Amino acid sequence: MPGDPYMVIGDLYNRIFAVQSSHIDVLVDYAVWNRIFEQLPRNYTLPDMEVLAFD
Amino acid sequence: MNPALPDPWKGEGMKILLATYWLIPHVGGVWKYMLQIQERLEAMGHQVDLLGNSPDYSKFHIINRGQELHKAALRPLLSAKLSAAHTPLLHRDPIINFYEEDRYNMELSAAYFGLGQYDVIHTQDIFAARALNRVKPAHVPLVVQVHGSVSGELHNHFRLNPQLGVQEHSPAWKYFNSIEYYGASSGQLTITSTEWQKHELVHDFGVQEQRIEVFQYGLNTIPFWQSAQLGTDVQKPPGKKVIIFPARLAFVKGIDVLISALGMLKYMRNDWVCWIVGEGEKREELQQQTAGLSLLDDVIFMGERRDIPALLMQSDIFVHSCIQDNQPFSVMEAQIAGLPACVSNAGGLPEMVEHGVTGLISPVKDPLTLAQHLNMLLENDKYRRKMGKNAAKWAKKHWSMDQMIARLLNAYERAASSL
Repeated sequence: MPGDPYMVIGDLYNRIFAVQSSHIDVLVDYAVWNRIFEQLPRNYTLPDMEVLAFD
Repeated sequence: MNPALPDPWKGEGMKILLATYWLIPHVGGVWKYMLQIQERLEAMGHQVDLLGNSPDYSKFHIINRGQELHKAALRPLLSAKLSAAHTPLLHRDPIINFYEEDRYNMELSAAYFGLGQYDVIHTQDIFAARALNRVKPAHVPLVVQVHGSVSGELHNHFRLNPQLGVQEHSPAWKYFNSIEYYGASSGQLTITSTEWQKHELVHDFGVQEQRIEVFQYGLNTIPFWQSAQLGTDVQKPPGKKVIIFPARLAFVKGIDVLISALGMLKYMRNDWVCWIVGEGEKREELQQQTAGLSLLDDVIFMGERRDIPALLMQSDIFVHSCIQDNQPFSVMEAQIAGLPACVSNAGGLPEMVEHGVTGLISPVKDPLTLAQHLNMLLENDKYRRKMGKNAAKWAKKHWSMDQMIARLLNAYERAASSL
């Protein structure tokens, strides 16, 4: 139906996560996540290990 | 100069993003500061967008453009990929998890809105600074402004609430040191408004001294005087002088110190009343303290009000007995109104008030000295009025909005040049 978000598997965007894991049940809005993904720097990862590695 | 950056001195308009992690709109000083900058820069032909958390924390938005991204669109994937099993460091403490995940929401939202369209980004806190530094294109300069100490406030909170079990060796404690360092070290240039704040960033958090520039805030006096002219329905009681303390009713503002001082002042004289203007989580506790000192007829809790300039014009002495603060707008406004200020020596306050010239400075949490200062100013009308006049002169010289905007544009240009 026009206007409904086009949902895709979130695993498509695994590149930005430090730990690559599969969650085929998690669907995300393609238009939103694709736009985000295109804008992120190549080296961008989650979580932000620099800030978290304070010990 | 970066050829990509238009030259503001040649009349070319820049596209500027002012960004905060905190809520917009908001009653706090950061929002007021962002609006003032936006107004001035747009009057000069620049285009200014305002990015921040929504007041209900449900989304990030560029409020002046009506652009938004709900966190609900991001949360399911983030929760799955950043679970405790995959990212144990993120889950060492709920407070770390809360701030980090919400900062990641900001990063992804900023990428969604697109940061490549801006000539310069100017962040207003350490979370926004770190967030936008991680997702901005390399060619966009980032100027980081630090208005206060997030870690200082949180560490105080942990100290005051030992039941939370957060101590100096705890991950939550160390986390705020870490984000303060990385946030304030982001981008090309860091601005603070006081030498005190700079000293703290360098000595407590290890931020490089040479990247920090200090210049004072400015205040647009036109709306202040317009509001003052509208007047107020509050009447100064006959035969009494007014001591005014406009502040959020929060621990860090030290209102309890003023109330203790007023308890002592009452034994010295009774030719005064005190107006406490603001709301906050400490209201009930402060009212109980007031009742306990038999000050119910002398101290009036006025709640949040929009006529503060007119209330200041009816007042005789301004007080800010805070535990920690950087460069509060309330002190600037009181000085513009020509009031002598009785302030504590916390944070950047001694850089705003010259002891014995524009006001009187007492040690933090020292109600006896504050009571003596109030007594001195109430006793000697000539001394009090002279100090008020000095404060107004100081305000005119130091809180110039034009000067601050010129320094800010200079900072933008230098940040662009250093890319």
